[in-house]
Amino acid sequence: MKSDIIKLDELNRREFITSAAKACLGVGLLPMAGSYIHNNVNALEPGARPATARYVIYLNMTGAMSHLDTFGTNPDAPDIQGPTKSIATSADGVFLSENLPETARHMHNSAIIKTMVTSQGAHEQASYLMHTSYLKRGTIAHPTFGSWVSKLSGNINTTIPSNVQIGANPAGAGFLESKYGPLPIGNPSAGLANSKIADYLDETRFGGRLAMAQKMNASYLNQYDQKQVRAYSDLYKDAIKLMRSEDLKAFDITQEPEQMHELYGKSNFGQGCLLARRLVENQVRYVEISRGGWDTHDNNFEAVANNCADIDKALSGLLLDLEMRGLLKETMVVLTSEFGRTPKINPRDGRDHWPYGFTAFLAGGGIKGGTVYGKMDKVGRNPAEGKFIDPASLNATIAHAMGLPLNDVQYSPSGRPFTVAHDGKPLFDVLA
Amino acid sequence: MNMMKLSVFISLITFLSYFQCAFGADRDFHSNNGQKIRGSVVKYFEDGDVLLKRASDKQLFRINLNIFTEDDQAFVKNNFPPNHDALPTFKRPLSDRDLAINTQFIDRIIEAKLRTYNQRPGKEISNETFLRRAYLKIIGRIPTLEETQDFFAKRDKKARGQLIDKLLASEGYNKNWYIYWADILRAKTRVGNQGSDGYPFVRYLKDSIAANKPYDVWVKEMLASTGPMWERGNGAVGYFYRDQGMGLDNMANTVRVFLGTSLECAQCHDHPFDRWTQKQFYEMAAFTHGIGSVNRRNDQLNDLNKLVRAEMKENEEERNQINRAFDYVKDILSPGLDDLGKGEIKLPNDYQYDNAKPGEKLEAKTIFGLVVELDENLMEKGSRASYASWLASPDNPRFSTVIANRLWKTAFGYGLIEPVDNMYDDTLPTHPKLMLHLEKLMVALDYDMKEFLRIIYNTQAFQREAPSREITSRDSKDETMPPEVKWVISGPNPDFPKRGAAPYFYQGPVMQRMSGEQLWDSLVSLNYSDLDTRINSRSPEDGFDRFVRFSQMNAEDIFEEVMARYNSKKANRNMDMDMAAKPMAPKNKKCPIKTTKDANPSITATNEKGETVAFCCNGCKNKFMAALPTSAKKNEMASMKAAPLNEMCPIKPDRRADPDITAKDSKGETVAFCCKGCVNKFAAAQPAMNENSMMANMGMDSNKPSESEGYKRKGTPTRDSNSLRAAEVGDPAPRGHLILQFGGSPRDQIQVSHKEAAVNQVLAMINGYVEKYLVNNKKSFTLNEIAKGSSMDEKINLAFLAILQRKPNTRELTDFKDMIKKLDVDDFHKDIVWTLLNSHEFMFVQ
Repeated sequence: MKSDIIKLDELNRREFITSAAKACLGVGLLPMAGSYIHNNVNALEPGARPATARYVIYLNMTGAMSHLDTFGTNPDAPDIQGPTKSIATSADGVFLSENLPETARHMHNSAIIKTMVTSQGAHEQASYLMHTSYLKRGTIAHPTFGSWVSKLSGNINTTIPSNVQIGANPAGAGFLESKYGPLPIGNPSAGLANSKIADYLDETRFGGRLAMAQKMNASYLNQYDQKQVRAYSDLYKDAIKLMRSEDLKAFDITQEPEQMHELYGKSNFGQGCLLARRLVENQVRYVEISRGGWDTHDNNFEAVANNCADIDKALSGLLLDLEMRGLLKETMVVLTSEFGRTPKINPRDGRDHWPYGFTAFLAGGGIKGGTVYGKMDKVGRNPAEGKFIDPASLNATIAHAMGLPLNDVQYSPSGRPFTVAHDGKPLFDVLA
Repeated sequence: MNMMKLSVFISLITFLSYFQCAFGADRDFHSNNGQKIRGSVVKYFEDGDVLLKRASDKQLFRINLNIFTEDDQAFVKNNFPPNHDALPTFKRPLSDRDLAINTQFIDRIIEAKLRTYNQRPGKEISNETFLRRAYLKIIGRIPTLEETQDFFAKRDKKARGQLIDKLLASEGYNKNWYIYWADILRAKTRVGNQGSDGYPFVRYLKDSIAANKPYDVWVKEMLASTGPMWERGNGAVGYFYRDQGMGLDNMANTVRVFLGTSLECAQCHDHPFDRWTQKQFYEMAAFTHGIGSVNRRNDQLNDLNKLVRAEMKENEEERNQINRAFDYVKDILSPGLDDLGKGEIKLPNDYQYDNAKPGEKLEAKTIFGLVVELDENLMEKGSRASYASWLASPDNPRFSTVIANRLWKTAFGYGLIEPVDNMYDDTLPTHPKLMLHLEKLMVALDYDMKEFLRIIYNTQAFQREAPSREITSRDSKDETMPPEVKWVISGPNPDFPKRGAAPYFYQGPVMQRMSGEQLWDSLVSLNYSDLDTRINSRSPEDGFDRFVRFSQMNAEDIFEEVMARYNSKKANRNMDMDMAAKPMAPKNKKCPIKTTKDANPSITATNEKGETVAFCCNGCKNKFMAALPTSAKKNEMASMKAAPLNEMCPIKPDRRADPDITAKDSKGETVAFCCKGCVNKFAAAQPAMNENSMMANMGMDSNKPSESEGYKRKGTPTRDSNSLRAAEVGDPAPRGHLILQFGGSPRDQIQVSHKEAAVNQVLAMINGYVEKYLVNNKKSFTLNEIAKGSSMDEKINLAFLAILQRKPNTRELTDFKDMIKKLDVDDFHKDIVWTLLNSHEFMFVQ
């Protein structure tokens, strides 16, 4: 019932905006088709705009991916390129590394930003900046991008949190309320922790206990009718609802047919991507999957090729699957890392940290397919063409596509003002 | 005419000429009606008067602050501590009489305030509620069944006071308050990217709390710290190491934590809401400048580095491995501070204001409070010592306020000033009289936190019922309450909470959910009755011993020792590689645990017969490994490293030795033991071994009693972190841990523990920890006690006592019996326990 109202609401707003657009700008319905407005009042605030990406799947290559051997090859400079060759893709004039043959088939749906720069060259600080758009300070915890999404857009599905983190390092909601923080999933194959009742229990026995606990809790709530107590009374209902709900299946990738598992690859990362697709199908707005093993100071080329075997299969599988299900046009897939790696190949056949230029790969909803933004100089050291795109601007680009209000100010407990993408400006060149 | 008006407020002070004009220079004070008097403050009285010395004629006047402009009032309040001349001194521990006087004094202040608002204090709590509250607030867990029964058996009038004393003196107190300070001071075992570089500070905090170090002494120790961090007892340097590379942030954190003042904005620009400028920020930071790099430089380290570099050049192929091998020494010797602070700093090159030039050199200067001159013997005493004694002093107006307010908040749930660490010039406590008294008490007790808490816990106010309705902060637009009211108890109608609302002036402590740590400690205490005295055997204590040994060696000897170690390891590694023949391809196609699933040939283990078996997932592999007899597991391990010689522990011959726990015997051979305790016994029984033998070889005095014994942590070392208190589980708790799920601090930022509700918490209570480690745990101490109950009634009674510290009422008893009859199972004590643990009453501290 509730969701019906939401749908109705959304339709009305869409009608309203389309007719307004028709009247004011003389545009027809067609350009608006495929765009979405999320079901939150914030959408009506100044600065908000119709979303072109309803969901985001963010693939975080921790340890810093070698951009030169993946999405940012520089075939004109064999000195810095080393043994990695470039291959043509489904988009004219766009080249990827030979390590990504499957992903190359999806380039017509994807864009690459080649002039990413960051001010931080240490993993933790750079990753923090990438996720929050703010520098890491000892004095405040900034919310991660996913937490901002959750805060500013609300969840569409009311039984699952709208911000899910698969794999390592779930950073939090910062100064925002913790409910906006990510729901952590450690092992994608195991699904949501503690969502099943103990083996020795049957429904009757479990129900008996639960009924007794609820009886006690009702009387406690009666005595202490406070928000903090009510929150737990509600959460017990939510948890039971989640345990019994069909939505719990969203977390259970064992329900996928074998071919699906194979499509994504059986690695942890591949299975994480599969889980992400299931979650997006169940209207989870922001899913991040992290994949380590990129800190290739030694033996870069072999390590990157190995990593890419996994990444290429999972990423191309994800893009294909989303496309087949009609989800790609409303789901943005982002793949990047905290910084890049040196153009210079070190004596150990490795590449070291390079924050002065790296790549971000964006595909699907809201993205202008087949685009390459910017160019590095001949020695691969610094951007030569195009603006420097810092982490805040990348986040602003994603937020813009999601229809989040970039100027919505949230205050920390000490009264300092913060926004979703700090001082970042969306990069319209890669947006559809 | 104007002069006449002013003189109304002025009364002439006749003598007091012995007061030195220590309180700074002359300045103009402006009255609200535009008059001006030039002079200096001699004394600030706690009733709000100041003693002013007029510049023109050195005449003394006593004037009430209220006549001055807000700026001038703020100047006095920020710069001068209230006069504490009249403070009594107490002999500690307080005698019963002194304790009674102090608690009554606080109760009278609270009751008087409540009377002015026509409010009554809450009802006195029952013994049951007192017991639970006292345990959770003082030692951070619920009492065990035995402790509960003990307390209820007492009929003594003094039982409550005695319990408070017992708890304050217990090991549980240390564990609980460590958690409190670790959250504020962001104590982490790993600060950098690897190793246990944060551990000396963790250890230092634990020792400081256990010793009940006076707060001011403790803070001074941290701020004036210097020397090597891994030296036994010198972990205070870890305070600076925690902000390694972020010296300016460290200063802002210090001011925030200990002076309750937020300066962090001024780091990059003049503070927008307060009056601090960026220049002032840098002047403060000058005191500690240089702590950004907590790395020592000395001949020993330089020589060692030279040797290592030469070796790396020689052996280009292994340069990284060689470099890393020396981390074993350098990680221990290097962290620390050499100097004591020079008291100078340069402004940043992009400095934008015109009160100074970019890059200008500034000298240390305090931001408020008494002006501190850098010591004349700066080279000897250093600027950090001046900084420490300025900050941690009763003369610093915010230092005592902050700690008194913090401790009050831990007892009652709300501070007199909120938030506790973001005070402005115009911040007023919700109950100024009480705040002032608590500050004075803190000073009179010489910052003895335990005695301070003892007084608070003994007040009637602490032993009153929590307000049953919601407490909210007063809406700033609320006209029905005067502005001094900061907290309001909602009215009876939840839709109109303002109607019938009452101001909250500590009618009783407020009800709160247990913290993540309280919850964890309470749950685990149901399994282990000796929980408080258990310590984590995996703490990296060996770093302290390593420091003793290496700091006495010269660079050449260290170099040789590490290289010898490196080469023998390399030889071992090569041997292992030869020995561990490539694992055979697994034979099975299906996973042996989940038989429906295909096995993944890359997830394998070796079974008893030495065959390779593949599994569908690591979970199944672990299950399989757990079910394997030890000998097979040993095979598995042996394939990874050279096995020790013995199979059985030489100390406890009936136990199997764990090949992971080893020591070298006098012949230099590896011997394995069943536990760390046995290693220690083994080492103690053969004093001429290991370190000592090495020291003897170097011609050192080996007869000296081992210092490491004196520095050893007290308690029962335990490996299983499911049997340890939150304070021992890890700093911070491991990722995804129940403690973190329930808002325990990840220790990245200052005091970020929280009590927010989330759905994964409830799932953990329904299906997770509670089910896996408690209800379904055959070894659970309390569960077994409850199961022993002779009748259904007794089992219910025991479960209530163990979990909620009270007996069930008749209705609850009937309801539970009905439930049990319906379930019709034998092990129904599990259902009782599960239900009580999933009750709100368990999760909240009343």
